[in-house]
Amino acid sequence: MVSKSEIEGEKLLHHLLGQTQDFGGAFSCITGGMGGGKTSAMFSWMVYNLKHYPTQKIFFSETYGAPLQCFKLLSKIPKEKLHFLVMENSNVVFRDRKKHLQEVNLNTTHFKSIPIINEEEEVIGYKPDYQDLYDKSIPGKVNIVFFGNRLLWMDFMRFLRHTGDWVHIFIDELGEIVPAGTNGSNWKRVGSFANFAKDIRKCMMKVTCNTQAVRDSDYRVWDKFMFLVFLPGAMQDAKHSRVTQSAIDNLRANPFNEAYISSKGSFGKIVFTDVFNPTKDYNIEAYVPHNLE
Amino acid sequence: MSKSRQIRMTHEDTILSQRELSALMKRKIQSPVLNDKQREQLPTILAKALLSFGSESDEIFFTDDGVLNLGSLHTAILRLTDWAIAPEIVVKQRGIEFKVNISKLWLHLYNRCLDWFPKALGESLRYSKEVMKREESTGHNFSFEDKI
Repeated sequence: MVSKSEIEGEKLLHHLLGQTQDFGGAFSCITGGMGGGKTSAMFSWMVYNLKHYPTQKIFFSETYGAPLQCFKLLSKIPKEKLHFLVMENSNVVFRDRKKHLQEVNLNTTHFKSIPIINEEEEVIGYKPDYQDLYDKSIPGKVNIVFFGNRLLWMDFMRFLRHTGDWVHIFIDELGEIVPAGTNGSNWKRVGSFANFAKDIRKCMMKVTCNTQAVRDSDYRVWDKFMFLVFLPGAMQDAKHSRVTQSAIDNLRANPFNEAYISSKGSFGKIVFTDVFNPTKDYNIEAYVPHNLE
Repeated sequence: MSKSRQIRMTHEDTILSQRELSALMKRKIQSPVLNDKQREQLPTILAKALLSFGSESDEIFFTDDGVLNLGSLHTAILRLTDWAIAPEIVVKQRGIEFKVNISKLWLHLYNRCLDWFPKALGESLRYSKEVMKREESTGHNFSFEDKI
């Protein structure tokens, strides 16, 4: 017997992961409590794209100062599938938390940076050369990119809209990319990104983010999510989804994580059957001593 | 999945099954919620329920080249109490393996025959159904291996 929620769940997944001009790209957000399986859910879709669309580029944005989540992927894919890209002059280093923060070499590829010069012709910082980054990224691999400043992902996504290719962007902790409660130039920057986010679908970009709660990110971005995924421990978003809090509270987390996927007033239930466990390298962190902007 | 078939029953099958169920009840169902009289009636009640089940259902048993007789249902009944662990069991009868879906069997018993059971047992079964409902996921299983 197949339930309606199962049918709806599959239908919405088809829209989210399929690649037809009708559906276009997708901007989706996965929410859930700590340890609720947000990263595993995101990795399921990441490996799905890796397996079924090996000629397309996948970009992954990691957080700084915490074990790199990408090493959990190694429980399902070989190490060669991870490709680390670091911006020149970004001062990003990788440290082993189990060896007193000793620096480690992850065979990174460096992409060019462009100096930012002030009126006195002094170099006050660096900005990424996105074209060089895009050229150096490899299809069929997970390209894990470090700018040294996570806000630059807004600009990178804006760049990717012009490539004309199907691209996949996965963002861990969206609240660090489009933070809530900004002011000054960052307020305008986030507003500009929110304005651009409406074009993600048209530009064949599949952007998948995760965050503990939607309200961790700027409210102007909330309306732009095409798909919302609620994992166990998530908070209801009554304005954008029909999924109620009690329904979320009844989601099971054992043996596999159940989730509600919601879009445009309809919703269905899915079960993530792939588990991504920590591997031996799951103690390496990315560290940047200071922001460059 | 193999082809589903209507269960074919003979008078002999019915007698056999009732006898087996009787023995089964004595051995296996020692429910503390039942009094002695109810316990005595239970084999007949359950046999009646199973007869109804056997004559109406054609989607519980799957086999390519055999017919399941009612007698072998006793193995399924043995598992009724732990259906959550093994929702589908294999019953061997006359050298042929039959797959029995305990959840469906139970649902049928619940939906059609609950009134025949003593009230206390009915309550117990109703609770079991609720547990089963919680155990069964109604979501679409997603794995990166399968193409959407």
